[in-house]
Amino acid sequence: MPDDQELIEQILAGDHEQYRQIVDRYKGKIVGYLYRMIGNMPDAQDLAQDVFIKTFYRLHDYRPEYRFSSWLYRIASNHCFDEMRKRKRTEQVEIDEEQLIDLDTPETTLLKKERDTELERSIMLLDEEYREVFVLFYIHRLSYREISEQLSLSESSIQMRLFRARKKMRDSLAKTMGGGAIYEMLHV
Amino acid sequence: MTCFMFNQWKLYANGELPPAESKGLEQHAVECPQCQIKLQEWVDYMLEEEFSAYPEVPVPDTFTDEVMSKLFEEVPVRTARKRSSRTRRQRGWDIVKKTGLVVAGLTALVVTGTAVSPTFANYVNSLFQIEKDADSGMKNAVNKGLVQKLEQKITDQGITFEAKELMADSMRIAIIFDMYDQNGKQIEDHSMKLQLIDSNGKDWLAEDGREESGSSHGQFFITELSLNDIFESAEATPDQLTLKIVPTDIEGKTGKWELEIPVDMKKAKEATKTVAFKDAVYQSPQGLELKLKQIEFSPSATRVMLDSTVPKSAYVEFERAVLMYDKDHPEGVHITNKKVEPTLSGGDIAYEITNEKGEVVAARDMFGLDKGIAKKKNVLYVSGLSSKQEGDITKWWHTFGPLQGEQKLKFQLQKVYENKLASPKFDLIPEDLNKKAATFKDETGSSFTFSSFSWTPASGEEKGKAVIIVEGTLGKDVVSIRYWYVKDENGKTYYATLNPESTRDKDGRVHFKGELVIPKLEQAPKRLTICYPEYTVEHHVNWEVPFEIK
Repeated sequence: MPDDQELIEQILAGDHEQYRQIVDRYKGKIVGYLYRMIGNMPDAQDLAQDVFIKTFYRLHDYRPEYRFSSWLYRIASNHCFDEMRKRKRTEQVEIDEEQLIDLDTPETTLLKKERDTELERSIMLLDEEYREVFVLFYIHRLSYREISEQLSLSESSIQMRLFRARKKMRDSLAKTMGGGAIYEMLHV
Repeated sequence: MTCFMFNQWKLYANGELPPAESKGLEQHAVECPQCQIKLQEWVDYMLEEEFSAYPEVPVPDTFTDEVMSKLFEEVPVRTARKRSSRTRRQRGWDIVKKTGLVVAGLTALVVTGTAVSPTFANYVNSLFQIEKDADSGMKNAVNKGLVQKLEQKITDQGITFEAKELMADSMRIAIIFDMYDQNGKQIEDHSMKLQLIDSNGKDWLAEDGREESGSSHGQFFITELSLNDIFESAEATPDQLTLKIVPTDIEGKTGKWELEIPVDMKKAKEATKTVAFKDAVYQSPQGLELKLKQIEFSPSATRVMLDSTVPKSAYVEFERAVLMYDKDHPEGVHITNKKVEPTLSGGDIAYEITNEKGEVVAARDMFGLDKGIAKKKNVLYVSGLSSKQEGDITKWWHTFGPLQGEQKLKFQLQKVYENKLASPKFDLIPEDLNKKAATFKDETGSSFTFSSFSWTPASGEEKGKAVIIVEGTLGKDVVSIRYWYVKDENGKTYYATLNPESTRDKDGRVHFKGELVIPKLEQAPKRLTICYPEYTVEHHVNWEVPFEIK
C-alpha cells in the first residue's frame, strides 16, 4: 500500500482519484475526533467532509518534512474550533431568547450552577499561563490569532498552552465529573 | 548546530518549565528559526497524541464518495491551478492584526468614487495612521508617503473582497482589507494565499507555505509581510512587484476573489538609506569575530546586519540534567545529557546605537538575560528570521524602530557574553533550611543562600516536587546561571530550575532571588547537593563604529 507521501505526490501530479485512499485512511479518525468534540454524528460527518475538502485544496501547501497525519489533524482541529466558535455565537443568541420565556426549571438551573462551579473551580486550578489562554479560547471564543495578538505569543505557543490546559482540565474534571466532562461543560 | 535552547523544549512541552522560563522560550522561538521548527514539531506531536486518544469510528463508504463528488463535480477547475512548488518552508506572513478601528468611524474617511492613483500619494487620512495596532514604524512610513489608497474589490458568490490601503516600505509591506457579504456583514472566516511576483514572473513567496486567515468581527483587517528575510538589501529589492492575494476559502466557500496589487517599490527604496561598513570587524579576545556589515534605515524600521564566526576552540561539551520524556518514560525521567556547543555566539552580545548628544536611540542585549538587568531600547519584533547560518558564518539581522533624519550616530559594542563550565557543590540538609538558611561561596566569587525548603508529595499524575528559596550575589562579571541540577543522598541526579529576578548594584554586581524547583521528586530528600554546570559572564568591550545618515 502506498504511503501518504507517495499518494500525495500522485495527487499533486494530477491523479486526483488517489485522494480517495487518503480519505478512506483517515475518515474514521477525523470523524471520531469531531464526534467527540461536537457531540453528534451527522454534524461530525459534515464537518469531516469539509475538512477533507479543505485539505485537498491545500495539498500544495503540505510540506513533506512533516507527517501528513499531523498536518491533517491541524486542519481538522482548526476547522473544529472555528465551528465551535460559530456555534457559541449562535447559541448565545438562542439562550437569550430562551431566557425571555424562562424555560429553566429549578433542577436544570441547579445542575447548570453545579457544573459552572465545577468548571470554574478547575479553571482556577490551572496555572496562570494556561488559564488566560484557556479562558480566552473557550470562554471568550477568540481565535488562536486573536489570542496571539493579545498575549504577544506565537500561534504555536497558544496551541501548546491549550494542549497543556486541556490535559490538566481533563485530569481535574475526570476526578469529579467523569471523563469527557470538559467538552460537555464547555457546551460544545 | 542546534540552538542552545533545544533542551528546554521537552520541558516546555510537558509543562515542566516555570512560567517565566516558558514565556522566555516562547519569545525566543519567535526569533530563532530552529526553535520555531522545534515548537511546531511539538505542536504536531501533541496533536498526534490527542488524536490517538479518540477512538476511530465506523464511517460509511458513501462518505468518501460524497467527498470525492463534492471535490470534482462542483469545482473541478480549481484543482489544477492550485499546484505549485512543494518544497516549502514557513516564512514571511506575519500575524494578521486587527485594526483598532470600527467601520462606522471610517465612513467619513473612505471616499469612494475618486480616481485611483497608481502611484503613492501623500495620503493624509490613512487608516494606518489611526490604527492603534500599527507600530511607530508603520505610522512613520505612512508619514513619508509610503502608503497608497486602494480601491480594488472583487465580488463573487455574493462575497466582496476589498483591498483598502497598502503600505510598502523596503522592510515590509502591509495591507488593510475588508471582506463582507451582500448585506455588508463582515466575514472573519477566511483564508488567503499570497504571492509577491517580480517583473520576471518570479514569486518570491513561492517557498512560503503559509496561509492567512481572518480576524475579529466588525473591523477591518490588516496584514503584514516582512521583506527582511526575502531581500538582503533595499537595492536587491525589485522596483516593481505585484502582490497577488488569493482568498482560498471564505466562510467555507471557494470562489474567484483574486486581487493583483501593483507595488511600486521605487519610492520605498529611495526612502531607505543604507550605511555599508568596510572592514568593521571586531575580534574578541575570547575568539568571537563580529563583522558589522551594514545598517539600513527605512521609514518603517532600522536593520542592523552583522556576521559572526566562532572558532572551533570555542566549542566545549556541556553536561546538563534534563527531564526527558520518551516512550519508555511517558511521565518523564531525570537524566544527564551531554552536548557540544559554542561558548560564544553572535547573538550573545550587547550593543547600543547612540546619537551626537550621547542618547541611546537603539539597544540590544543577550537573549534570555533577565529583564531586570538587560539593556534594550527601540527593539522592533517584526516578522521574519533574525539569523541564519551560512557555512561557518551566522548572519544576524536585528530590527529596531525607525531612525530618521540626517544625523551622526555611533554603533557601540559593549559586551560579549561567554558561557563557562563550572562545578560547584553545595551540600545541605533540606529540613534544616527551615530553621537556618545555608550560605555558600564558590570559585566564581558568587554567594548563594538557600532557605525555606518545601516538598509536595505526589498527587494524581503529578509526582512530588521540592522548592527551595535561593538568594544570591553573583561574582564579578557573572550575569546568569541558567542550568541547575541536584543530587539526593543516593547520588541520583535531578533536573532543577531557577527562575530568578535579577538586579544590578552600583558596582555592576548581579543580585538575584528566586525559587529553585525540583520537579518529579518522589521522596523528600534527606540530603541534597545543589550544583550548576555552567554560568554566563560578560566581557566588557568598547568597540565603536561611528557613521552618518546623510
